[in-house]
Amino acid sequence: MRRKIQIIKGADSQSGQSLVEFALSIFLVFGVLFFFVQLSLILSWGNFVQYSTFMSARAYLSGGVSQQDQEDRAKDVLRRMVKRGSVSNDDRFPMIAKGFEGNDDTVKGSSIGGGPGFDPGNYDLSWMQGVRYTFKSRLFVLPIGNPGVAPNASSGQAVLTSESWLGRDPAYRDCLSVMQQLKGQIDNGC
Amino acid sequence: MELNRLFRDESGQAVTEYVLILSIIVMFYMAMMSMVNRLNLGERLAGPIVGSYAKTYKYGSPTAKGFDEGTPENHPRAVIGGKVRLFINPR
Repeated sequence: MRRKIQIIKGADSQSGQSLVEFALSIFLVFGVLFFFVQLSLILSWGNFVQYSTFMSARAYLSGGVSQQDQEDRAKDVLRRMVKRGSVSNDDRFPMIAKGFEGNDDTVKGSSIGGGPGFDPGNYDLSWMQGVRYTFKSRLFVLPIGNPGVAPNASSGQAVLTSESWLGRDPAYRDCLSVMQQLKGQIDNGC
Repeated sequence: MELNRLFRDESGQAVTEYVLILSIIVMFYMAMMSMVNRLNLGERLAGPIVGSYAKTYKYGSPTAKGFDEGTPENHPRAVIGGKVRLFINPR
Protein backbone atom coordinates (compact mmCIF):
# COMPACT_ATOMS: atom_id res chain seq x y z
CA MET A 1 0.00 0.00 0.00
CA ARG A 2 2.79 2.38 0.96
CA ARG A 3 4.63 1.56 -2.27
CA LYS A 4 1.60 2.36 -4.40
CA ILE A 5 1.22 5.69 -2.68
CA GLN A 6 4.87 6.38 -3.35
CA ILE A 7 4.33 5.64 -7.06
CA ILE A 8 1.42 8.08 -7.17
CA LYS A 9 3.57 10.77 -5.55
CA GLY A 10 6.41 10.15 -7.97
CA ALA A 11 9.83 8.65 -7.46
CA ASP A 12 12.34 10.79 -5.61
CA SER A 13 15.27 8.50 -6.29
CA GLN A 14 18.06 9.89 -8.51
CA SER A 15 20.33 6.90 -8.29
CA GLY A 16 20.54 6.58 -12.11
CA GLN A 17 21.91 10.09 -12.67
CA SER A 18 25.49 9.28 -11.78
CA LEU A 19 25.36 6.21 -14.00
CA VAL A 20 24.18 8.21 -17.00
CA GLU A 21 26.76 10.94 -16.42
CA PHE A 22 29.48 8.33 -16.04
CA ALA A 23 28.42 6.67 -19.30
CA LEU A 24 28.49 10.02 -21.12
CA SER A 25 31.89 11.06 -19.83
CA ILE A 26 33.62 7.68 -19.94
CA PHE A 27 34.48 7.93 -23.65
CA LEU A 28 36.25 11.24 -23.37
CA VAL A 29 38.00 10.60 -20.04
CA PHE A 30 39.12 7.10 -20.87
CA GLY A 31 40.06 8.14 -24.42
CA VAL A 32 42.50 10.76 -23.11
CA LEU A 33 43.70 8.51 -20.29
CA PHE A 34 44.44 5.56 -22.57
CA PHE A 35 46.09 7.87 -25.11
CA PHE A 36 48.73 8.81 -22.55
CA VAL A 37 49.08 5.21 -21.32
CA GLN A 38 49.53 4.04 -24.91
CA LEU A 39 51.96 6.88 -25.66
CA SER A 40 54.09 5.90 -22.64
CA LEU A 41 54.15 2.29 -23.79
CA ILE A 42 55.15 3.34 -27.33
CA LEU A 43 57.99 5.54 -26.06
CA SER A 44 59.25 2.73 -23.82
CA TRP A 45 59.08 0.28 -26.69
CA GLY A 46 60.85 2.79 -28.94
CA ASN A 47 63.67 3.02 -26.41
CA PHE A 48 63.97 -0.75 -26.35
CA VAL A 49 63.97 -0.94 -30.16
CA GLN A 50 66.87 1.55 -30.32
CA TYR A 51 68.82 -0.79 -28.06
CA SER A 52 67.76 -3.82 -30.13
CA THR A 53 68.93 -2.35 -33.43
CA PHE A 54 72.21 -1.35 -31.79
CA MET A 55 72.77 -4.90 -30.47
CA SER A 56 71.82 -6.35 -33.84
CA ALA A 57 74.16 -3.93 -35.64
CA ARG A 58 76.97 -5.06 -33.32
CA ALA A 59 76.35 -8.66 -34.38
CA TYR A 60 76.40 -7.54 -38.01
CA LEU A 61 79.61 -5.56 -37.49
CA SER A 62 81.62 -8.46 -36.08
CA GLY A 63 83.64 -10.47 -38.57
CA GLY A 64 82.44 -13.92 -39.63
CA VAL A 65 82.81 -16.62 -42.23
CA SER A 66 80.83 -14.70 -44.80
CA GLN A 67 78.55 -11.69 -45.11
CA GLN A 68 75.58 -14.05 -45.02
CA ASP A 69 76.80 -15.32 -41.66
CA GLN A 70 76.98 -11.75 -40.34
CA GLU A 71 73.47 -11.02 -41.61
CA ASP A 72 72.10 -14.21 -40.06
CA ARG A 73 73.60 -13.33 -36.69
CA ALA A 74 72.17 -9.81 -36.82
CA LYS A 75 68.78 -11.19 -37.79
CA ASP A 76 68.88 -13.70 -34.95
CA VAL A 77 69.68 -11.03 -32.37
CA LEU A 78 66.94 -8.72 -33.62
CA ARG A 79 64.39 -11.50 -33.79
CA ARG A 80 65.11 -12.63 -30.24
CA MET A 81 64.66 -9.07 -28.98
CA VAL A 82 61.65 -7.71 -30.86
CA LYS A 83 59.81 -10.91 -31.79
CA ARG A 84 58.43 -13.78 -29.75
CA GLY A 85 61.27 -16.26 -29.49
CA SER A 86 64.10 -17.33 -31.73
CA VAL A 87 62.05 -18.69 -34.62
CA SER A 88 58.84 -16.67 -34.45
CA ASN A 89 57.98 -13.70 -36.64
CA ASP A 90 55.15 -12.63 -34.31
CA ASP A 91 55.60 -9.28 -32.63
CA ARG A 92 56.51 -9.36 -28.96
CA PHE A 93 53.86 -6.82 -27.94
CA PRO A 94 51.42 -6.44 -30.85
CA MET A 95 49.14 -4.25 -28.73
CA ILE A 96 51.95 -1.69 -28.52
CA ALA A 97 53.77 -2.00 -31.85
CA LYS A 98 53.97 -4.13 -34.95
CA GLY A 99 56.85 -4.52 -37.37
CA PHE A 100 56.14 -2.56 -40.51
CA GLU A 101 57.65 -2.63 -44.01
CA GLY A 102 61.36 -3.60 -44.10
CA ASN A 103 63.23 -5.76 -46.58
CA ASP A 104 63.20 -8.97 -44.63
CA ASP A 105 59.85 -10.68 -44.16
CA THR A 106 61.29 -13.30 -41.80
CA VAL A 107 61.73 -10.48 -39.25
CA LYS A 108 58.94 -8.15 -40.24
CA GLY A 109 60.03 -4.50 -40.14
CA SER A 110 63.76 -5.13 -40.35
CA SER A 111 66.33 -4.25 -42.99
CA ILE A 112 69.83 -5.59 -42.48
CA GLY A 113 72.76 -4.55 -44.66
CA GLY A 114 73.18 -1.43 -46.74
CA GLY A 115 70.90 1.51 -46.04
CA PRO A 116 68.97 3.63 -48.56
CA GLY A 117 72.04 5.66 -49.57
CA PHE A 118 74.67 2.94 -49.19
CA ASP A 119 77.40 2.88 -51.83
CA PRO A 120 80.44 0.69 -51.03
CA GLY A 121 82.60 2.50 -53.58
CA ASN A 122 81.79 5.98 -52.30
CA TYR A 123 83.70 7.17 -49.22
CA ASP A 124 80.84 9.51 -48.28
CA LEU A 125 78.20 6.80 -48.33
CA SER A 126 79.99 3.58 -47.45
CA TRP A 127 79.27 4.08 -43.73
CA MET A 128 75.57 3.42 -44.15
CA GLN A 129 75.60 -0.27 -43.28
CA GLY A 130 73.82 -1.81 -40.34
CA VAL A 131 70.34 -2.50 -39.08
CA ARG A 132 67.10 -0.62 -39.21
CA TYR A 133 63.74 -1.57 -37.78
CA THR A 134 60.43 0.12 -38.50
CA PHE A 135 57.31 -0.34 -36.41
CA LYS A 136 53.86 1.16 -36.36
CA SER A 137 51.80 1.85 -33.27
CA ARG A 138 48.22 2.76 -32.67
CA LEU A 139 48.04 5.93 -30.61
CA PHE A 140 44.37 5.88 -29.76
CA VAL A 141 42.59 3.00 -28.12
CA LEU A 142 39.26 4.54 -29.06
CA PRO A 143 38.59 4.58 -32.81
CA ILE A 144 39.72 8.16 -33.51
CA GLY A 145 40.82 8.75 -37.08
CA ASN A 146 40.03 6.90 -40.27
CA PRO A 147 40.56 3.17 -39.94
CA GLY A 148 41.81 1.32 -42.99
CA VAL A 149 44.00 4.09 -44.39
CA ALA A 150 47.81 4.21 -44.38
CA PRO A 151 49.40 4.74 -40.96
CA ASN A 152 49.90 8.45 -40.43
CA ALA A 153 48.61 11.22 -38.20
CA SER A 154 45.12 11.18 -39.71
CA SER A 155 44.73 7.47 -39.07
CA GLY A 156 45.99 7.88 -35.50
CA GLN A 157 49.05 5.69 -36.03
CA ALA A 158 52.70 6.50 -35.51
CA VAL A 159 55.43 4.98 -37.65
CA LEU A 160 58.89 5.06 -36.07
CA THR A 161 62.17 3.88 -37.55
CA SER A 162 65.25 3.03 -35.55
CA GLU A 163 68.57 3.00 -37.38
CA SER A 164 71.97 1.81 -36.27
CA TRP A 165 74.74 2.16 -38.82
CA LEU A 166 77.84 0.64 -37.28
CA GLY A 167 79.32 -0.69 -40.51
CA ARG A 168 80.62 -4.19 -41.20
CA ASP A 169 83.99 -5.77 -40.67
CA PRO A 170 85.31 -7.77 -43.66
CA ALA A 171 84.32 -11.41 -43.47
CA TYR A 172 86.77 -14.28 -43.95
CA ARG A 173 85.59 -14.81 -47.54
CA ASP A 174 85.94 -11.08 -48.29
CA CYS A 175 89.51 -11.34 -47.06
CA LEU A 176 90.22 -14.41 -49.18
CA SER A 177 88.87 -12.78 -52.35
CA VAL A 178 91.02 -9.68 -51.79
CA MET A 179 94.12 -11.72 -51.02
CA GLN A 180 93.63 -13.86 -54.09
CA GLN A 181 93.71 -10.73 -56.25
CA LEU A 182 97.04 -9.72 -54.71
CA LYS A 183 98.49 -13.04 -55.97
CA GLY A 184 100.77 -13.57 -53.02
CA GLN A 185 102.53 -10.18 -53.22
CA ILE A 186 101.27 -9.16 -49.77
CA ASP A 187 99.82 -12.15 -48.04
CA ASN A 188 99.71 -12.26 -44.27
CA GLY A 189 96.86 -14.73 -44.35
CA CYS A 190 93.25 -14.17 -43.36
CA MET B 1 -8.73 -3.60 -4.41
CA GLU B 2 -9.88 -0.38 -5.95
CA LEU B 3 -6.32 0.89 -6.13
CA ASN B 4 -5.16 -2.24 -7.89
CA ARG B 5 -7.43 -1.48 -10.79
CA LEU B 6 -5.99 1.98 -11.15
CA PHE B 7 -2.50 0.69 -11.96
CA ARG B 8 -1.45 -1.22 -15.05
CA ASP B 9 1.54 -3.50 -15.30
CA GLU B 10 4.76 -1.44 -15.43
CA SER B 11 7.24 -4.27 -15.77
CA GLY B 12 8.55 -3.00 -19.16
CA GLN B 13 9.32 0.51 -17.98
CA ALA B 14 12.94 -0.17 -17.01
CA VAL B 15 13.69 -1.83 -20.33
CA THR B 16 12.12 1.02 -22.28
CA GLU B 17 14.07 3.59 -20.31
CA TYR B 18 17.23 1.57 -20.77
CA VAL B 19 16.75 1.48 -24.55
CA LEU B 20 16.02 5.21 -24.66
CA ILE B 21 19.08 6.11 -22.60
CA LEU B 22 21.25 3.74 -24.63
CA SER B 23 20.10 5.35 -27.87
CA ILE B 24 20.89 8.81 -26.45
CA ILE B 25 24.36 7.66 -25.39
CA VAL B 26 25.02 6.09 -28.79
CA MET B 27 23.84 9.23 -30.57
CA PHE B 28 26.01 11.38 -28.34
CA TYR B 29 29.00 9.11 -28.97
CA MET B 30 28.48 9.21 -32.74
CA ALA B 31 28.12 13.01 -32.68
CA MET B 32 31.27 13.30 -30.60
CA MET B 33 33.22 11.01 -32.93
CA SER B 34 32.10 12.89 -36.03
CA MET B 35 33.10 16.15 -34.32
CA VAL B 36 36.49 14.67 -33.46
CA ASN B 37 36.96 13.68 -37.10
CA ARG B 38 35.73 17.04 -38.39
CA LEU B 39 38.08 18.99 -36.16
CA ASN B 40 40.97 16.60 -36.95
CA LEU B 41 41.48 16.21 -33.22
CA GLY B 42 43.28 12.90 -33.71
CA GLU B 43 45.62 14.44 -36.25
CA ARG B 44 46.33 17.40 -33.99
CA LEU B 45 47.09 15.17 -31.01
CA ALA B 46 49.18 12.73 -33.03
CA GLY B 47 50.89 15.40 -35.18
CA PRO B 48 53.96 16.03 -33.01
CA ILE B 49 54.51 12.31 -32.45
CA VAL B 50 54.13 11.37 -36.09
CA GLY B 51 56.07 14.39 -37.36
CA SER B 52 58.86 15.96 -35.35
CA TYR B 53 59.23 13.17 -32.80
CA ALA B 54 59.51 10.52 -35.54
CA LYS B 55 62.35 12.48 -37.14
CA THR B 56 64.07 13.03 -33.82
CA TYR B 57 63.75 9.32 -33.08
CA LYS B 58 65.23 8.41 -36.44
CA TYR B 59 67.87 11.07 -37.06
CA GLY B 60 68.33 12.82 -33.72
CA SER B 61 66.96 16.14 -34.97
CA PRO B 62 63.39 17.30 -35.72
CA THR B 63 64.57 19.23 -38.78
CA ALA B 64 66.60 16.42 -40.33
CA LYS B 65 65.83 14.64 -43.58
CA GLY B 66 67.47 11.45 -44.76
CA PHE B 67 67.77 9.45 -47.94
CA ASP B 68 64.26 8.13 -47.38
CA GLU B 69 62.92 11.65 -47.84
CA GLY B 70 65.01 12.35 -50.94
CA THR B 71 68.04 14.58 -50.48
CA PRO B 72 69.44 14.56 -46.94
CA GLU B 73 69.22 17.82 -45.01
CA ASN B 74 70.55 18.40 -41.52
CA HIS B 75 71.38 14.72 -41.53
CA PRO B 76 73.56 13.66 -38.60
CA ARG B 77 76.60 13.23 -40.79
CA ALA B 78 78.90 15.74 -42.40
CA VAL B 79 81.21 15.36 -45.34
CA ILE B 80 84.29 17.52 -44.89
CA GLY B 81 87.03 17.22 -47.48
CA GLY B 82 85.79 13.88 -48.68
CA LYS B 83 85.79 12.44 -45.18
CA VAL B 84 82.69 11.63 -43.23
CA ARG B 85 82.23 13.11 -39.79
CA LEU B 86 79.38 11.90 -37.64
CA PHE B 87 77.80 14.20 -35.10
CA ILE B 88 74.75 14.08 -32.91
CA ASN B 89 73.14 17.48 -33.01
CA PRO B 90 73.14 18.93 -36.54
CA ARG B 91 72.27 22.57 -37.08
